[in-house]
Amino acid sequence: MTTQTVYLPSREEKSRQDFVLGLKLLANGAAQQRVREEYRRAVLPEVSRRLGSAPATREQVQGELARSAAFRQWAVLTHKSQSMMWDAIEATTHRVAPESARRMARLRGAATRRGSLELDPSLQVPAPIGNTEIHRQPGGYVGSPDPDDVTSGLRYIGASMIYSVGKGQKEAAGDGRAHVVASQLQARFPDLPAPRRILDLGCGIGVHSQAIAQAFPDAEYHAVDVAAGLLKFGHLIAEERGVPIHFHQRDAAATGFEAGSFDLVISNILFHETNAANLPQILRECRRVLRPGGAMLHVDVATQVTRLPLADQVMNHWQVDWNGEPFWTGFSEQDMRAQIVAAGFDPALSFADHLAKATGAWYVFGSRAN
Amino acid sequence: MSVESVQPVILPRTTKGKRPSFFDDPAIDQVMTFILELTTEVAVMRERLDTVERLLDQHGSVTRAALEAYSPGPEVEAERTAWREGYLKRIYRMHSPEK
Repeated sequence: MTTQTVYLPSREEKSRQDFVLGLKLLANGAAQQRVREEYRRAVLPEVSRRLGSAPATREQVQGELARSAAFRQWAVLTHKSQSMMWDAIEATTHRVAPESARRMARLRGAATRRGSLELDPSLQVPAPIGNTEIHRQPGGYVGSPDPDDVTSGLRYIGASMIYSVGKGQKEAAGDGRAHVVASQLQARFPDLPAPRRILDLGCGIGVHSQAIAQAFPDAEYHAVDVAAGLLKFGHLIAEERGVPIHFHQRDAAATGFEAGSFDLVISNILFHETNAANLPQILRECRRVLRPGGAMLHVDVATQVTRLPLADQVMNHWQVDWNGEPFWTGFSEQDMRAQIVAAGFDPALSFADHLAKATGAWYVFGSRAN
Repeated sequence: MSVESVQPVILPRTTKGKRPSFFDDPAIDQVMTFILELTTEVAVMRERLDTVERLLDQHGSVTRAALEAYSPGPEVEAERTAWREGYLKRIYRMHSPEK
């Protein structure tokens, strides 16, 4: 994890958070494996018999699979470990909140800031961020209007230190994906000149933004998100680390930046937290703000239905209903290359590929403006 | 822009289900919940006791401040992780009498 010094669990809090991570690894590992075994052993033969052929869709199997004891156990374990994760994080968040508010107040009064923070209280926060507690994070991402209250950011970083490892990604959340973004930029666009202006959409608390901004120290780095709670915290940890980032509370679907004003547009796990209506608008906005020759690269979760067995699709869809992942299935059904082409990018320059790394599997998509 | 002018945001809590139950008999969910909470506290207490013992071995005395300041080295960390994994395996087996 980045060297932020705000969210620091006490010894006992850390111990509890470590154990909750163990429960999450159990849920996403052995318990999930048992659901797959149950599917192969009992559900698949039963449904195949009923249908007269092998099932082809999630809907054909989810009723039977969800009634099995293995699935129910996995569901309780997944749901409960998520609740316990938030309880464990809340203890640290409450303890460090007064000190982080003092630091935020001091920062807002400082003349030495290298980046900036622009909040827009009139912004209509789009769904699902505006109306859902993503990942069941208490209070959601939006946070309170208090300019010094960074608790939603504290919760977010607390979870990212637990959650991503629980999903089987070995590297800490933001830093690991920043590495994927950086290496993919090099691999996909080897001839791209050093960007002067970079736009980062759906930056959240901007841990990955810090890493990417440091990889391009000569570029002006603009990071956009709809959630003020996360932006305030992102600004605090970026400034405390001395990384110049300009944070803006804006909608990725309508950023308000001048057309053709960016050399590079990136995002990191943004699209699976949007919705079917906003997704194509965001891609069109990417096209609009890119100058000719500019590059676009997005990294997101690799849950595409075309590559997942039905039992896993059922478990993923359960996250939509029960675990604060409203667009998990919706995003999984998207053909992102087709969406990119529909947004006005050249099909010959557009790509959407799965990337399997030891540190996790990612869905990487992008294009180049011509 | 003045950040003091920010208006309160009302966030509807739309995540489905306040206390969902995944078994037909909610008592089973409840028992699993009890077990998970207790299991966690046992692990937290065991780790704290382990720290107390290590500090006593080294210094012959222990204070709350020393407990908080204790930082396990990679060897202790590996030992604890191995114990935690074994412990979780035993509990999960218990959840599934058929295995």
